Amino acid sequence: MKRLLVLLALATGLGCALYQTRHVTRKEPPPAAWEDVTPDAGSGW
Amino acid sequence: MPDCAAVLRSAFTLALAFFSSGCAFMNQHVQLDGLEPVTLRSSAPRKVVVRELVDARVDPSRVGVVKNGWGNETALVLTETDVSKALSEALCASLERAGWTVVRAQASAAVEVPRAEDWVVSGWLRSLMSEPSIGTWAVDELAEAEVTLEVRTAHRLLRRSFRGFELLENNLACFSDCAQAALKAAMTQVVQEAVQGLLELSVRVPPVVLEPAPTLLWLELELD
Repeated sequence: MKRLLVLLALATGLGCALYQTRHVTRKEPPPAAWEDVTPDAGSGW
Repeated sequence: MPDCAAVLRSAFTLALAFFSSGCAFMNQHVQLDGLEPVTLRSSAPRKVVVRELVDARVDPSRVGVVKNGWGNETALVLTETDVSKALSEALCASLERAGWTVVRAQASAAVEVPRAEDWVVSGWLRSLMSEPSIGTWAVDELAEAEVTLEVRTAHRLLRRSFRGFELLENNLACFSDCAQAALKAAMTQVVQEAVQGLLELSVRVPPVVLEPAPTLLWLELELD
């Protein structure tokens, strides 16, 4: 009975470990353009 | 009545589990100065006044988080380095390496309106943060830095944001070395992006031909 419980615990642990995945979240890159912020200016560059 | 040895054994196991994970509960301290300037070639060198970047972060000493094996944030990555100063110096050194003439100025310094061919560059450090991504067998360390630059020419004011990102993959365990390496790499990358953006802008903005001032002409006539 004890061995069964140990095996069950190991299998659960391994299952959880394999299920766990890494997620790399990366923000959207900023716009690759210069914005014209001159007061009273027209459109951007 | 419970067995005394069994209670002690349980207490020892709990204590071992707690202290063996102690590194996840301790703040890490990193040094972020001494960034290596980037090497890029400029086809249109300029003279620029570069103001020191303003640190726009809420807590300048906090540059990341430490996580335990379950991915919970348990401690902080801290620095005593003046990060905005380190980034400003790396930006200036990189522009000089590219052949530009750089005049360093304080962030609050009053700088005159530049001549047509000169620029004034100022900016803000928006964010700098590292965090581990806890995996099954290994830990990845992510770091991100964001800087916004403003370029003032004689006639225009231009603004652009740059972001540096670093992912150090598959570390067996993440100590302060990982966070420091990832943060410095992200900082170097954001400097590279910023220098690249300035060099591209320099090529794009044509030099302005100055008309001779009427007053000077008048004085010359007087002298004749």
